[in-house]
Amino acid sequence: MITPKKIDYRIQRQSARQWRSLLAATAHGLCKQFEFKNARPVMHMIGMQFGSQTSLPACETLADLQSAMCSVWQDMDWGWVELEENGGVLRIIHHGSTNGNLMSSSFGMETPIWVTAFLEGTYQKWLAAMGANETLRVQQVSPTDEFGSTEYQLSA
Amino acid sequence: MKKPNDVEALFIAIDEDPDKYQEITRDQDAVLAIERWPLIAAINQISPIHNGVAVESIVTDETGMASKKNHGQTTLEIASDNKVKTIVTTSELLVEEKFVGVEQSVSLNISDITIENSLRGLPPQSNVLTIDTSHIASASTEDIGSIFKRLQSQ
Repeated sequence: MITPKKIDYRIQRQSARQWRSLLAATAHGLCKQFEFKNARPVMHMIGMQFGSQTSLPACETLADLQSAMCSVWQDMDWGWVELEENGGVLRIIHHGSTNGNLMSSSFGMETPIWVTAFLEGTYQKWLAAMGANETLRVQQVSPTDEFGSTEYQLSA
Repeated sequence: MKKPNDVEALFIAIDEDPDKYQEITRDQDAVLAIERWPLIAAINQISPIHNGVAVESIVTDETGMASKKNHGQTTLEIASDNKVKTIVTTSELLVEEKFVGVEQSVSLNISDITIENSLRGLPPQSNVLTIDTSHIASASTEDIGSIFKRLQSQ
């Protein structure tokens, strides 16, 4: 859903140009390797590594957890996230993940897979650190829209 | 936007004028933008004829007496360096309008940051790089552990 806040957020941001070239070349180079034909597991793993090296403070409530996650993303200028338990799942909706031209030029044609798998892995790691056991998995359930909003769900 | 032929054919088939076709969602988006960004709202009130011209209304009350009222004055002056120099807006009911002459403009020396904040609906003195979290929906204050247990039992 397009909201004025999403437009406000987008207006103020764009990715640094040097990263577009570097990341595009990296993505293209990796995809040419036989073992990296499916980039999703690789980016999921990298996301989990990011979640490990960017640990969150102890959180008691869902609101605390959302605030801690948003703090990390906002510090990196990588959007924000909303958490909501609904219908037996925990909805994780990440907004503003495609600052500037990141989506269209940094990772080339496979950018939607690379970025969303990275975030999926990060959320998996963060939630596991908060006590979610291995039966609960984070899965992407929607494609990323033009404002960088993607929905993930934590469920058994 | 070019009208699709099927829409034009449909209007003709029901004896309506194809030129009456309207993009409703576009109008809704425009209204939303006007509500959100004050400078767009200000610009929106300006037609090429109105720009720099004072507009008066003739308002007729219940007794039929006519009186003059200023309405919807909006002046947007662009200086030679393409910076907005003056913005004046008021709004009152328009019943009938006539042009009464060129309005005396006043330079307010509006700074770039003020214009940027106006575009974003922020107060004039706001730092545009301030992170705004007001749009983030509040999450539940329930304990995380109990939520995880509930999800595992699903």
